[in-house]
Amino acid sequence: MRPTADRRRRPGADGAALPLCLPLPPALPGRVLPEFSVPCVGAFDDPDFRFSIDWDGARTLLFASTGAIRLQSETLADVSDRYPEIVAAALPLTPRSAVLDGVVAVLDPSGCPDLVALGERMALGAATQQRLPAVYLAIDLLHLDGRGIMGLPLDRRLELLRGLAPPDPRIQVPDWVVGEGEALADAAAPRHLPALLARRGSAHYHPGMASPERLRIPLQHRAHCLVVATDRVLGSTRLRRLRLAEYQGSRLTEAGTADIAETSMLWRWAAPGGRMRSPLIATVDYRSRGADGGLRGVEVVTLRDDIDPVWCIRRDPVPPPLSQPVPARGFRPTVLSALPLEVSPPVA
Amino acid sequence: MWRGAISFGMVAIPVRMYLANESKGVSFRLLCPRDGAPLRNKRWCPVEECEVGWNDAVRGFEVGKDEYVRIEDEELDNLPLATTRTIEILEFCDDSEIDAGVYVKGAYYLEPEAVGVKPYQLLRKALEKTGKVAVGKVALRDREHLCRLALHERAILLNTLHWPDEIRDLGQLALPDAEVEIHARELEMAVMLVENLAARFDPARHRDGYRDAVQGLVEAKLNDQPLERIPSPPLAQITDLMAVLKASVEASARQRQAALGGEAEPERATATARRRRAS
Repeated sequence: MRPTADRRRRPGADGAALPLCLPLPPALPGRVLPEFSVPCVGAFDDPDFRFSIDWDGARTLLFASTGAIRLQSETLADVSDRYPEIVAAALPLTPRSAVLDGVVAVLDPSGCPDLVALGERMALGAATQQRLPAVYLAIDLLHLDGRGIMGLPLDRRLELLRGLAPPDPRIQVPDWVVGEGEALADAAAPRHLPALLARRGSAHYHPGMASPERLRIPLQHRAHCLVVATDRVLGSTRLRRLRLAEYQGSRLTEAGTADIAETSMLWRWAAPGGRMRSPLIATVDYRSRGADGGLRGVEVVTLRDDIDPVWCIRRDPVPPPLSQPVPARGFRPTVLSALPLEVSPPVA
Repeated sequence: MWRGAISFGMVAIPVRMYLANESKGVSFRLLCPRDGAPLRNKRWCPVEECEVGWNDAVRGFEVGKDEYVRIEDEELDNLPLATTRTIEILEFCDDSEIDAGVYVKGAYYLEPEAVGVKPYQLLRKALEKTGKVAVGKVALRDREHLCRLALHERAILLNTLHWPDEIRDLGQLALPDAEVEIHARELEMAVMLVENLAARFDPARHRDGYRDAVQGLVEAKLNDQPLERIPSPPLAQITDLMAVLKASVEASARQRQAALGGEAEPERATATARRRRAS
């Protein structure tokens, strides 16, 4: 006879065999959209905000459930195979179920994330894990023990995250600073760190949108652009000119050009057999923006496929929260046109 | 590799020129994945979809996208290239006047022909005595190069130089000007760091680690030996970096606190917040 799971009866009280009624494994969501940031003009001090570094890397969500670890990229793709060392390092988490938000990075010897090395790692794959080991920098906790905790305040989520991280150097929980954004920016800028992240301590997690309570304060001129076309550079048989675009007001507009050597490992990865991957995102450093918003003095840092193209957005930064009477509004990307008419489709 | 003469004034010194260095970078041949045969490049015409032989191909100078001016070999032969088979000395100058770091391209040894030993030695002695180097022009592989002749041990060394318009302008870089304020202690510390690593340059102490690793890999595969795994360095900790940043933030807070005359630190942030709100 099948044992009943009557919770009012004490099992074994009448001498019968104990019912094998295990609790269901905690359910995890299949996919979770990450929360994005609203660009902010500059650093500020505010005791309500937690300031951390916006680490150079690949935004990745880590799903831990009974005996299994799964990594999900910003594009909702399963990237577990790309970083087997992170999957192995996170296995001690699996007695519990959890979803972590974080960044996969390759660190240089000083402990600073190296985006060029990560680009190489992404292009060459897991075979290079010995030379270019990846680490997971956890910055938030979204689910724990089968319960969604996105509605808890950030401070509480960070407290739970600190108690969860396994003692393995491949899973790290970077520290943050309370209130002191300007001093952290002064300390971080000389170390070529790309940006600060300012998150309100009482904020909930808003998946799939740029939250006004999560501000990105740039320390370098860096942008993610969609590569919409490529040309050969006149007079050179070895250079490829990338034509870059960003979404502005929901329309894709040209952002500038950048050259890359055809013999480079990155380009060989980006255009296997001469046919360019699509979509392809270029993370670039630039000297300045022109009056039209276009990028000047552009240099490719890396090419990648882990960023959702709809988030290659050019948007005016908001002022710091305390200096504006009305709080900043969040946004979601809206895409009205995939390509502007004047931009030709990708060519080999 | 090249025979000609150094020419200056009425003097001509017959010399042979040899490469002073060789590239030992790692290079691989591309092979067919099925039978391992080395692959060859073909000159392919995409319009007619056929192969074009070396002797049938003609030169084109690209003037626009898919626009070429066709140049025949005879037309190139008729161009003035006065320095053919001659290293034409134009002037002698101090070596320090040539910014070798950006101008020097290639290095070649000059060896005198049997009949040119005496004038070669004479030129060497003259360069030695005056402390000057010669600047001239030489044609190599159908191209005219600016060049420098200087003493190198018992030989005369020829360096090909970039033309002035090939040197990129520094104006595009955001370089610090001399007005940046540097404290004496900072400079002292920087000088100390330099002096700690100061050593006499000995090229033999430096090796191409990547080339050695590839050679080790090839030898291991040839001898069917297991590949030696290079132990990976311990992973850096992001917490170390954050500790440095936090220490900097705390030091900055202490400085501000001292400047404010000991006002409680948590109040400072709130004060900033109030100030911002008021503005």
